Amino acid sequence: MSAGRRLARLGLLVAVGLILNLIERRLPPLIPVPGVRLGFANLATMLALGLGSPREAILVWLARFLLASLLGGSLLGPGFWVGAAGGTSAWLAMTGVVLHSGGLERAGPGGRRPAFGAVGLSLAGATAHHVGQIAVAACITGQAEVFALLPLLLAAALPVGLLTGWLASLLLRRLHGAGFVRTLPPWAAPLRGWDLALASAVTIVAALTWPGGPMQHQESAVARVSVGGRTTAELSLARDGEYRVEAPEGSLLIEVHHGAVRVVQSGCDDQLCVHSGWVRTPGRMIVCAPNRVVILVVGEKAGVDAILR
Amino acid sequence: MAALALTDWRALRADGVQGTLCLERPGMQLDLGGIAKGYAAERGREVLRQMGIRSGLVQVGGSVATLGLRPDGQRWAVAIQHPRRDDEFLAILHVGEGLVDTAGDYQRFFVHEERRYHHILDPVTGSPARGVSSVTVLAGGSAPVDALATAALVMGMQEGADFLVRQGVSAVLVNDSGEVVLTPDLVGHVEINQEAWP
Repeated sequence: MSAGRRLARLGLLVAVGLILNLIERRLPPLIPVPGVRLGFANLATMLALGLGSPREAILVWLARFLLASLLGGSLLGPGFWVGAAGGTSAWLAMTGVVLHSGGLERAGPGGRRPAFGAVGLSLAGATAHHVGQIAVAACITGQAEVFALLPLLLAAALPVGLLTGWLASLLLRRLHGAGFVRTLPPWAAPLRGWDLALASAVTIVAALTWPGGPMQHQESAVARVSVGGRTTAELSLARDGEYRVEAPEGSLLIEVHHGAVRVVQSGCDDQLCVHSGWVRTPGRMIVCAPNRVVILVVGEKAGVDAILR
Repeated sequence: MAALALTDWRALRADGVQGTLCLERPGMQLDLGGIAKGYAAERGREVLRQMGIRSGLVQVGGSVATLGLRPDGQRWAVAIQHPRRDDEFLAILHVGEGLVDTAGDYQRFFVHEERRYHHILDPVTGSPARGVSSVTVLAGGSAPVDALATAALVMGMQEGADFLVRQGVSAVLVNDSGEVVLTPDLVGHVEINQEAWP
């Protein structure tokens, strides 16, 4: 291939990556850490890998990343290093997979049958991308807790890896069919057996390490049950369950469900406590006057020292 | 928009020797709303410190200065008001000795034809800053947290967050559709109430 054609191809792939990256920057962030991206722009790196070589792939990534950082205004900021770690990790992983599954020369009829297809390659890149991003984010912040966000990113890597891998395969085969590309890389088939194995492994790791949604609102409120002014139980609203409380006018059945508490049954006459329904907000309470039972929801709200308005 | 012609911080000249300030153009005014409360809170805290007090909290509007830890040895729990719900908190920060300030589009505002006009104006457009609902800045030292929060609110989410990271302070930013960005040091340390967004 002539140097001119090669340069044109590089430029085209940089442009594709840049556009994908700039679109990606407009998407709402999956997790609130600057610089973390889903990795759609990896499609351009993959195409460079398929049409050229690992060397071309890293060139395309580097040019695309520097331009996107410059245009997006994040050059040399904290997000820059997170993104740089993600991009280089993805490239390293994908180059490793390409070298392992048949080397750089095109697989001939007698060549070794590669283990991974395009989806596997892309998934390996997406997974390494997120591990790299999170590792550097943890180093920058000095907080190992950042790793708690990894399962969420791994779960996102599955659809993103699947989509970019499938697209890369489709584009490469179309270009080949139209005569623009003479030989296809050995991994150009969309899906091979090991791809599914890798996808399953990522799913299992994400599921095992899933921390119950680290960035979700955590129910730390407690229902404090007192009978006759004496606290008899503290029920965490995070755990669903039914509890029976003995009281002067007969027992009460209390239910905790989805962070809220209610009285299901009471031996009292007026049944006001049952009609109070669910309460969940700290400071709210259910009172059963005949039984002298008070169920008060206490949470962090009660322990606040100042409110910034 | 006549006021925009008179909006320029460079036209404020300070004479450190004489102890005087001068506004270069007639009609200019100086409003200390963005910086006075934080300064007052910090000065108040220093007065307490000089009196030998070891544990205290001074709040002036949206500015809080803490002195030492709580009497029970725990860090102070400082809640951030939810920008769109009066009865909810957006998040609770646990702070040692430091300064905290929130700038928001929900204080002193009016709504005209479904558009919110609040009190923090973008010096470029002369209109209320758009896009960011609330910025809370937290610093251990004596950074001008109130001025930083107000500036970040005008800059916008990403630019504001990057700016605050460069300033070496911690921050919680929320845009007007409820998306939250934390400075990296706060990730995993702040619980965000994301459910209460309308």
